[in-house]
Amino acid sequence: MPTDWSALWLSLRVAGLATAVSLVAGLWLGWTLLNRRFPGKRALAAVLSAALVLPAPIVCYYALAAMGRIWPVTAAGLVSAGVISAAPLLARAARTALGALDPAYGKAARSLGASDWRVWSRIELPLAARPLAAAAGMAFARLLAELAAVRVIAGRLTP
Amino acid sequence: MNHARIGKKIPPGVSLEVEFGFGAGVTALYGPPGAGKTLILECIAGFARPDSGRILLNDAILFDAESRVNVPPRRRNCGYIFQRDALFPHMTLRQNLTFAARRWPRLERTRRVGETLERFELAGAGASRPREIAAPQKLAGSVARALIGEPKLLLIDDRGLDEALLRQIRTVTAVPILLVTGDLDLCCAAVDELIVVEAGRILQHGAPRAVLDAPDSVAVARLLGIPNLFEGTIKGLDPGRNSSLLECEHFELAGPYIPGHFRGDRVWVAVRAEDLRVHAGDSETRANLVAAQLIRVSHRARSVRMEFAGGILVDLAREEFEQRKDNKNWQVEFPPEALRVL
Repeated sequence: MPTDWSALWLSLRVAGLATAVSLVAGLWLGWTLLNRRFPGKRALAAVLSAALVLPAPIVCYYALAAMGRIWPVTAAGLVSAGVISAAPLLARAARTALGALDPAYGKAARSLGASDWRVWSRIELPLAARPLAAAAGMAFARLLAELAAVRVIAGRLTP
Repeated sequence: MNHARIGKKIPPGVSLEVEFGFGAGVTALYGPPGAGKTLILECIAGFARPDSGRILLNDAILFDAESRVNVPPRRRNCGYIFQRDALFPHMTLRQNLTFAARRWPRLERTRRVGETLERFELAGAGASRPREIAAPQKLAGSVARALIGEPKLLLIDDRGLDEALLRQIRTVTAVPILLVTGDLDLCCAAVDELIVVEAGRILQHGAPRAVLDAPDSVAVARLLGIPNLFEGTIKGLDPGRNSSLLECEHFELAGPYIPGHFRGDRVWVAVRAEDLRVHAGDSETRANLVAAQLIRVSHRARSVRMEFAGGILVDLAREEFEQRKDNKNWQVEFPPEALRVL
């Protein structure tokens, strides 16, 4: 009997896509929390920390439950749930990695006429790439392991 | 006109309140750690925002608290050399310079980077990353990167810059340089103006030699490393003979006339350790010769410091000390021309 690889392939696709989206969202959130002042900053940081301590299947389950009332569970739904689960982890990792950089590099780049975007893309991101890649790898592994379980639980939501 | 008036609160309970102008040459900010020197540079560069004041560079307003103008650092065009190495570690030295020369077209940029590397004798290190090159080359690389963008002002935080590199910078650019340093020899050799800063305030501002020769206050004298400071009373003043008599706690000193003072005024006398002379024996009695008991001797790189009772410190050349080290009794001579009355 031929082996059915579709479940693994779907899990890889969903986890990969969710990790990629989470990385972008996490980088933006981490950078914003580190560099910007805005009302509710502490509350946002607290929500992200709370999301970290909750087990990923539970976060995903409730996310899917919220969406399941609107549409049936699909790959897109699973990706969205994965993003909600992994983005806090990556936001925290981004905040830590970017916060650990010597501020002199950013100041030096600005004194040389670089815009915020150029400082970010040419200096901060490359210097923080290693810890961010490690965090993304961990997020991918966590999603891969847990999305399958979520899919089984969430299957009950589908009509 | 280049002028900075900066007011900034620094918790807890300390504030920076400075106002100074600076010309086209090299201006040094000198003071103890925590005096606010780096913060002054950061305010001018735009990395720190003052609470009050105004900063002008070439008559252009960089910051004005009243009109709420605060030009971002990237538009201030101030080259900044940090206290620590801030070359981008993931780029080679050439890439660091290329990053700073971005505003020129590609060919022009390549030419400028090559020329600058040659000028600072870094051509061989162009392909190396900062961690692969020696500290003096890193410093030269930082200077080259700061200058390649043709800044309007060069800000140098205390980085152990030596006289040769400072002179080299002067040959490359004529922009004003604001330098934080703790090296008085460098100030005398290659600096045009010296600003003495302590606890967020400017204590004295002037030509380095003038400040060193005539400190305004006891605090400045202490900061400039004048160890002999004695409080005393003016016992006599004679403008006709250009003389004065000062009564200190343990001795009397005859000095030149002190304008602007009266008999009975309390003053401080400052004398450099290297300006005092020592004599053997205790039999000689003449003006400004004080018998003193030797307490301690400490050997320095180029001299020997003798500490006498009453807080008198004398620096002697090593050879001179070797000739006299077996003396039992000592007399310290205060040459009248060496006395600075504060």
